[in-house]
Amino acid sequence: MKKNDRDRRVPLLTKTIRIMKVTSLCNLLAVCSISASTYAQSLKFSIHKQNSSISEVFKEIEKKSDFTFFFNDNQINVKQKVSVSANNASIEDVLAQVLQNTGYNYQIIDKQILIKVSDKEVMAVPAVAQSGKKITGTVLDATGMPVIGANVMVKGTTNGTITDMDGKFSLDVEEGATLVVSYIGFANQEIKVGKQTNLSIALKEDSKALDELVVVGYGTQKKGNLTGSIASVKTEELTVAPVASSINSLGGRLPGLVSQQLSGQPGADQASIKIRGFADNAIWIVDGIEADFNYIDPNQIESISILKDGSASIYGARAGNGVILVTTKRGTIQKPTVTVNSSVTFQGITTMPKPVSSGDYATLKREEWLQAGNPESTAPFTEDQIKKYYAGNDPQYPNTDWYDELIRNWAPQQQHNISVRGGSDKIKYYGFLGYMNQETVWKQNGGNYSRYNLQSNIDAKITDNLSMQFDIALMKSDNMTTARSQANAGVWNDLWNTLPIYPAHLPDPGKVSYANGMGVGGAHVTSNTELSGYVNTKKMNIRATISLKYDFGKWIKGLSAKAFVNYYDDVNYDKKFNRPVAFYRYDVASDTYISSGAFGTQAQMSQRHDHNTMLTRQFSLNYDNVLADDHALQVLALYEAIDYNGNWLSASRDEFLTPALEEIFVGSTETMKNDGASSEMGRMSFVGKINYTYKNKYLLETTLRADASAKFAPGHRWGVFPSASLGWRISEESFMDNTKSVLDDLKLRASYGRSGNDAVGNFQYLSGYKLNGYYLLGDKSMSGIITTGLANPDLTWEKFEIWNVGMDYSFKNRLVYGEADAFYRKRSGIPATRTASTSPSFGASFPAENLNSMNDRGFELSIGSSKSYEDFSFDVSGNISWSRAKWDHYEEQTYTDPDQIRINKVSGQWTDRTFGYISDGLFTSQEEIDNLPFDQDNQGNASLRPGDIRYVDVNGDKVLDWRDQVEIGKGTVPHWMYGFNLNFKYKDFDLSALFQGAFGYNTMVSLYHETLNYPQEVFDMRWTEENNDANALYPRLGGASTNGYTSDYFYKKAGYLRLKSLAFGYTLPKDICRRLFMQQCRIYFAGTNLLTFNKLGKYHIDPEAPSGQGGWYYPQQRTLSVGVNVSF
Amino acid sequence: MKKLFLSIFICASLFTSCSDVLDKEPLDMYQTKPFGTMKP
Repeated sequence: MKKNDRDRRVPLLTKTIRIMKVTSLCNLLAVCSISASTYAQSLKFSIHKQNSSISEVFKEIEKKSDFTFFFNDNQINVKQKVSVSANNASIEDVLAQVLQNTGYNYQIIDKQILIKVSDKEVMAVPAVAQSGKKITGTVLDATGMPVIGANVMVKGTTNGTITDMDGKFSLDVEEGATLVVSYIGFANQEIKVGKQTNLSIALKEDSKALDELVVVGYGTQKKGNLTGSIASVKTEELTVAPVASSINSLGGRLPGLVSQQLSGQPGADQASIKIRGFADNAIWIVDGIEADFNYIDPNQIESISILKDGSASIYGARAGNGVILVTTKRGTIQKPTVTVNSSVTFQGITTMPKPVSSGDYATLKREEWLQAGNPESTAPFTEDQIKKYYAGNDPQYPNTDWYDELIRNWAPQQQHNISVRGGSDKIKYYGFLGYMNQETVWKQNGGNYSRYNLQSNIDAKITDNLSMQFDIALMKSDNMTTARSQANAGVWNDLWNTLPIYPAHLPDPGKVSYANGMGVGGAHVTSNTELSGYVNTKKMNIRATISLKYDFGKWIKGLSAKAFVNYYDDVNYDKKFNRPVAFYRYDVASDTYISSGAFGTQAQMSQRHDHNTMLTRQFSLNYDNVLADDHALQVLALYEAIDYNGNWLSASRDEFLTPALEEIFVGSTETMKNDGASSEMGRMSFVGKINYTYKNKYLLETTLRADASAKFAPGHRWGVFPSASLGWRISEESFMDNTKSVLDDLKLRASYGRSGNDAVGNFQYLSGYKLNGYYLLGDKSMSGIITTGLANPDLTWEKFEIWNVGMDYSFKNRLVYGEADAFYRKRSGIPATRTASTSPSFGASFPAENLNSMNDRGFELSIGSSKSYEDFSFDVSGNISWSRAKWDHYEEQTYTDPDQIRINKVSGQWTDRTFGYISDGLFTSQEEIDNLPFDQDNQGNASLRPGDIRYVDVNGDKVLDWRDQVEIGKGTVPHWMYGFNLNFKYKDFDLSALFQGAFGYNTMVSLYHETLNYPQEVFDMRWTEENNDANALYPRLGGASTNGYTSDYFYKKAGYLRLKSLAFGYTLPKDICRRLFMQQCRIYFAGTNLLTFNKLGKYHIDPEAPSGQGGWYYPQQRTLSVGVNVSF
Repeated sequence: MKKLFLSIFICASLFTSCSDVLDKEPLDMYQTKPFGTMKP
């Protein structure tokens, strides 16, 4: 069913509009006879058209009235010529003239007119074998809702009908005929009629069809008409497996996205997302404003679009590293639908090195001592003691598995949300309430992260021309974590300093066991928030939007004006409390406790309150129309102003009278401190966009944005950022007509855009003084002022230029589909400090200037295949991308030495080159060392022993020095990213799997971080006299200092493929759901990171671990979930 | 038509509130002005 030509004129085929049509048709079909509404009866107008197409006449009537035409373009030939001449006539009179002798008639309800083939004509169709049997059926959508107005046709004939308001139809067909069921927004479905007489047909949304709307900068665009490199993902894919952070759903799903989840810490486990591997992060725009995306529940999101090329230029001075647009769900015209999602997840560490036992620890300590050339008499452990540790039956020689004591295999996580969605043509609404709770892997009071999300999006039509949008979204989170950081210098470091030779528990449960911990007692102290203290971060933010849209269509078709105001308020409250803990050792023989120190002596507390606000105002004029049938034009003119304000206040006190009261007033006033500051900033922008499409095959988009930022000096504030992109849909050309049965779409794209990055520091054009530091005047400490340094009034934003070419293709109704893109980006004006030297008497350093420049290049490919059968459908796709950056100019000293130029000079080189020594295994005998033809340690090789790393004297100058360094790797961020997305559905079962992988990068395999204890991997794979292996993982413990050189011995090539998510679901049959008063019910099992193929797997380092931090950070998590999704 | 004028009035009011959007300065420093004058 088609609305008169409108689907070619404006991109209105959103689900919302589709459902508006459904409602309209519902109304239409509810009326059995031709009826005229009050509006139809009262309207009189004149029209004169001679020998014009029906389409032109309908458009003329739409112009002169508020009527809208609906018809099935398979049945109605709107190119048929008709004539009409009427003065001050009613709509009935006009339509009677127009449709006479056409074989069509009409129905009117309210302001909609349905054009259909007259019964007489249908009866006259000779192809239908009325002698066949009568079949009935119901057409439903994926949620079980009836599809009203769907076409049900017998394939190859004109015999057909449309579904009624219950989605039901009845049709006479021959046995063996094939029915074709179609509806806009859904994939056509063919059903072979067998012996059955009653059919239930579930249509699947054709979500990837070319007329799908994609959110772009300040608007939407049909996917088929996109000219930029824009990737998009829908909510169904984001919510396939429960994840706490929406960002973690994106990795591997889209081409051109470099995703690395560097931590598994609750509340801080979001992946680092870099568009096309660009060095800095993209900006996130949520419902039109810049916002922190990480705190949004994945279930709130309708879609995410990623603008990778010049299409991002419309965001001007902030768009240089790409733009990610997030759109939340809105109300649709449908009866109220309540949806409940609930899941329980168990999370456990994917992989990490584990500490050794007490026997192994004592062995390694002794070995390290002796191999370092120290006397045996002072060795840390004797052979006898080591035996006792291994035996484990002497309480004086315990063996504590601290990993097992402190870390649980599975930590629980739960997510629950409820939403309601519905509306009419007057008001549409969407409401959401979500709750998430994620516990840490630490066994004893390790903290947890909880979050509430509340959202209400309302669209109201106040009058025929005026509509209003009112949205409010609230997020409240509470993150309780340890006072010691969960990063590498904190609790995970403590774990490696917690020694297995001490017991985990003492006979007196009120006393805490000492396990060294390098001053903190052990990780059992610092990982327990109730023992040693905590950091409690409470965050709350509100996004509130109100917008008014006035449609001037009555006067100028397609013209509308919009005012949009958003207020964003973010409050962050940190409370850090350190509680003193005393620890003891226990002497079994004397049954006494020996005080062994304490973690802190008195409780202390610091608190900080941050408050940031952002007020965004946008005013825009939109024009959206199709001129003379073939010229689709969209024009946008927009003004935007953003005010930013922020302030913070902090306070702290030490020397608490008692740690029992966790409030700041308990601290000593002698030690109290406080601080605070405010800030403000503003942006002003003018945005213009023209989108022109000729005959749906030649596409042009141009944008122009002028941005001003208050952070720069007057005169340097304004920047202009243009972009242009072209598209050519070759498949729409007449010379490709004979390929239409095979080729659905073939489009070439090219774009160019300029943009900026204004995150270069605020107000650096001003000089002055800041309060800072303390000065001793006499015996009094006084706060003083310092200069802010030299100002640079010329400092402005970084500038970007990006070129992109691409191609989209689809064959055989998406049996094969995909896209390809290649890009080149220039980035200039990167702030740096001039290296020219100044006189020592100058007294100041140079200010930052826009000096450095670099360029990026890369490509992305994706290919997929999808097909639907009666009971089975699949959609599988794969993508791969590569990118790398090179410095054009890097402000640096002038090098003259050829080796300095080769190793140190950065200008003109790849940005991620890593230099180090080339290793040649380990020495396995003293003879090898004696015969070494060069001096490796600058001591005539006197410090070298078997088991030490042997390096290569690359330049052959008989000495190993910095000149022997060569490029040993290409950085720790992957150049190549790839993913496979597999979706299968059979009857009521569904299976989704997402594989993500990366290669073309290096990682530093660093298992031992100079902590007190060792990982098991070092014990198992180290060099020893017994294991005299030149390729042992770890060189001689206590070995030569040269073993610590940066070399390819530890800097290894990395790569992985992991099953990022897997979900298996079962949807209850419709009749069972109906009996249980449900529309739909799906039960699913899901998991993330369930399987990993890792090049460095033998080291037990997760492939996404930060380089050089194996076991020294909060590791990534593997999750298992069970959940249910119910709609009422 | 009344609602149109009301909308225009609301928009105009909001628009005027944008006039000082670029009139911002650092609030955590004393700025040095020409000839050594200082402004908080």
